[in-house]
Amino acid sequence: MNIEMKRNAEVTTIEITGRLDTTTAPVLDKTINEDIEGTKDLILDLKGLEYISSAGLRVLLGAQKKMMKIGSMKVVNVCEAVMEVLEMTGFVDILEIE
Amino acid sequence: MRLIVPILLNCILVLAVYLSDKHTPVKKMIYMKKQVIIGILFGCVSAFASGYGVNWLGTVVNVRDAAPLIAGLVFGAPAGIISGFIGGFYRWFSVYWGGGTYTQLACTMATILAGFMAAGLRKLMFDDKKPTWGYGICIAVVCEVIHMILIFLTNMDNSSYAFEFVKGATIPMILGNAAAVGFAIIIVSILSHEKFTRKQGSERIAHTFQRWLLACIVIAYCVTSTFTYILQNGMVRIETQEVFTTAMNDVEADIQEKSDAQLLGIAKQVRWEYEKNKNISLDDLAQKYDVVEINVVNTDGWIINSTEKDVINSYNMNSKEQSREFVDMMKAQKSFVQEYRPKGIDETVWRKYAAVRLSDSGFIQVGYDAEQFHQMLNGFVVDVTKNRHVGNRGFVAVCNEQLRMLTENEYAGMHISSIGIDPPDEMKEGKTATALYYADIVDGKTDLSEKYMYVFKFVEGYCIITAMPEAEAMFMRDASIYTSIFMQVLIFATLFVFIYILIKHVIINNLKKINDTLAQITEGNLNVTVDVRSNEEFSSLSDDINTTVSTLKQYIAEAAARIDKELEYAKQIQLSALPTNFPTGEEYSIYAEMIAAKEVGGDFYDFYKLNDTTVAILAADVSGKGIPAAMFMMTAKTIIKDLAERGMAVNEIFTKANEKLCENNESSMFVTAWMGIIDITTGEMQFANAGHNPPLLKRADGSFEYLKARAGFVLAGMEGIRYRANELTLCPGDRIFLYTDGVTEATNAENKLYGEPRLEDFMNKNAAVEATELLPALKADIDEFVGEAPQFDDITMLIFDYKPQKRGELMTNKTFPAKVDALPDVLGFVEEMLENYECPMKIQMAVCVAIEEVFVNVAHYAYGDSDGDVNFGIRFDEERREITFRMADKGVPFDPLEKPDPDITLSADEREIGGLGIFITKKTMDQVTYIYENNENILTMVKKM
Repeated sequence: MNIEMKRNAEVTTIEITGRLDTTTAPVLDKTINEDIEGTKDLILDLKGLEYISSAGLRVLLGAQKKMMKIGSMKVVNVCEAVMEVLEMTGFVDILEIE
Repeated sequence: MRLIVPILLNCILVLAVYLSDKHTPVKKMIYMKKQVIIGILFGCVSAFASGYGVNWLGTVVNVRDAAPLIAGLVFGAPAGIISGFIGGFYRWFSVYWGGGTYTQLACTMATILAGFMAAGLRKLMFDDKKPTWGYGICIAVVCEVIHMILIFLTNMDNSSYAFEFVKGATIPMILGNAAAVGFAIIIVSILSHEKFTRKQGSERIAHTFQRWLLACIVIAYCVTSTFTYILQNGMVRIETQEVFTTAMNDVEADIQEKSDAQLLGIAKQVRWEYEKNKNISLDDLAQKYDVVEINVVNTDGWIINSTEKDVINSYNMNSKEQSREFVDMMKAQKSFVQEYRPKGIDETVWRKYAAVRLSDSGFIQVGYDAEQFHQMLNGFVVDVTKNRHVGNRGFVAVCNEQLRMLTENEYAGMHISSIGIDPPDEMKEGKTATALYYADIVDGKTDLSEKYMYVFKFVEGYCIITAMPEAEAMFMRDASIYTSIFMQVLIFATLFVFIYILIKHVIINNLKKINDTLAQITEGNLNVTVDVRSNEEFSSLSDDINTTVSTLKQYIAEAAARIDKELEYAKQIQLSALPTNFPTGEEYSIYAEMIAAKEVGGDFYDFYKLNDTTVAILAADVSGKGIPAAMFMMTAKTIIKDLAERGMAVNEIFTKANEKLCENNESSMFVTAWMGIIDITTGEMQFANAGHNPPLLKRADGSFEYLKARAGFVLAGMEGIRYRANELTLCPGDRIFLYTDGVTEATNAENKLYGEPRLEDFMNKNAAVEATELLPALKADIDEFVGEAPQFDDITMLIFDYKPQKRGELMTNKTFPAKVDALPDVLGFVEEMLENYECPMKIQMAVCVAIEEVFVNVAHYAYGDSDGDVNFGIRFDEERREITFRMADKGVPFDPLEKPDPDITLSADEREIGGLGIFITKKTMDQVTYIYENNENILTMVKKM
């Protein structure tokens, strides 16, 4: 998994590519919790994400909960495979997906 | 003696009828027909007996009444009545060929009555059974007594003749008829092997009652009879004496009167002579009038003149009692005659005196001796007594002072002893009889003597004897005693019958009713109630019994409910011991069902993997039912499994298990079992049979056939049995069906068995059906066969399908440490395999997510803090286009599928973290199953491509 973070004033975009699984999820979790101080709107660009497991979903859920308090979170460029998982688990109703 | 012939004839007929009744044709005859035949036969005997008897006073003493009595008492009421009528009518018409008319009506009535009596008593007193011989004799006696009473009643106008007849006929007729009835009943009793000795132990109330009632009645009868006899005896003596006294007083009065009149006449003539000439010689006068003595007495009582010279002026009449009477009497009367008696001055001399008053003063007394006045009186006396009758045949006789007879016949002047009267002392002394005397008096015409009763009295020098035959005197007594005894027999017998019937209806029948009901209750029918309400005591007894029974019923119901509950527990124990995690792997699949009967049996099936390549299957049936069978089944199952897991061969398992089960098998239970151990990879099967039903084996290309290998003895039956193992190689597609006798021995309402042929048929028709559908279908077929009949044995069925892998389809296995770190390796292995199968990327992705989820789960929780492995197996079925994943770990048993699915409709705030992984897996895979087997958590997942 590879994470690229772009900050633009209070808007932060995180591009995630590769696999978001049990082993990699903690990295993303850490990034979201520690490296986005002052961000009001978080955009998760999943353009390069090809795989997500429940560990990844857990991170997404945590991020959603956190951002709801301080601003907003948006998930963009979800590929078909990941979308299936999100639909399957009802995450499509929780997350703001574009 | 002549009576013996008809008595014997009766006995012979009884014997013949009884014996012929033992033969089938007679036995099969309908009741009424048989009764009519018996009635006619005995009627004939009755008619025969009627003519065959002893002549007595113009009629025949016979045993005609015995036959109807025997027929009625021994064989049945209708037979008795019929033979009674035949005997009776024969008697009625027998007068035309010489039968006596005198007793015609009485005899006819008696015989008909005998039939009815026998019939009625048999029905009312003896429950339509034969009475004992004692009763038979009593009934015969009573019947004959009635016969005698009827003879009296129908001949009231000539009772003395009737009495004479009865007196002679009673004893032989009673004895004859009683003997005939008694013998007949004894014969039947002997033939039917009745015991004459009384049975030991308690006897029936009816019998006790009969006996005591009979005893009381016999005693009462004896007492009243004795009393009647004594009373009648006394009465008869008094009556006879009265008859005697009347007759004697009449005679006495006649003689006295005649004698007095005669002497008074003489005295008056003497007075006339004396008064005409007072100086006439008294001696001349005495001589003239043939008297002994003439006295002239003055008013003071002095004899002033007399034929007896020495008393003149020296004897005062007042000085002696006898003569003073004259002085006293003459004061008031003009004349007085004294009876013949000893004279006062000399008591050795008997004399009769008469006195008439003289016209001036005093009186003249005339006296003479018996010789003198008897000469004149004798003729008169004979006349007085001659025609006087005492009763019918009694008489009055007169003797003089020397006891010589005064009569006109040849006994005249003879001593009294010549007619048979030996003079008693009182008579010799000239006294009047103070008691009744008896003498055998000879009839002058016939020279026969007969016993007479007599009394006597001396009057005027005569001895008057009044006599009567004793028989005549006693006739009334005997007649009344006979009638009263007969009536008493009748009354007491009737009383006995009535009291007996009354008691029977009030007590014995009710007791019997209650006993019958109680017997039903004892046999287990608790739904009956006692309902005897004829009187208060029985009503209360009935209520008590009903209450007791209903309480009992309640207790039984409670106990039954408790037992049912315990059986339910036993059933659950049994069911819970059976494995239900049926393997549906690629190599083989097993499916089994056990349907416990209501009363739980000891059936069980079992299957387990012994190692990676061998699996054991087993079906067994413990003998007996209920909790003991369930417990024994648990033991057997545990022992066999324990031995199997030690890796023993199947025959060794049975041999050892048998030894262990034999130990302490005090309840003598046993188990039939069939066990097979199959090598999955080669299909080789070793199996052993311990007295169990042969399984059905279907070859992939054939049909089901019974696998009939030689069976060993049942397990736990006997120590030291060695079992043999049979071998067989299963081919792909082969199927084994194990079952217990609950299947083949399922029984329908007509008691027919389901049977092996029908089972084989059914299995062949449905050979291709999946095991999970086949077994319910088989059960349904059994149910259809059995119908309404209850299932009384457990039904156990197990199907083993051998599904070998096709070449190249063996599962590829790889073991990884159960650590999250190993996840990339795991996923790498999975992806590599999937790429080999040319799996689309999308599916690869989805599968990887699922695999990750379950692996991570195990890595986190299965081994806690310690290390462990996870084994992965992957296989691809090209035909079905499906991939099978198998993940096994030896961690703590945990079924991830049990966890409820998360609610995915909740908002982000409400959503919990966790539970998603398995959810994703379940969603992703087409099939996920979990079993815990051989200490392994095995999760099998199938994904279609």
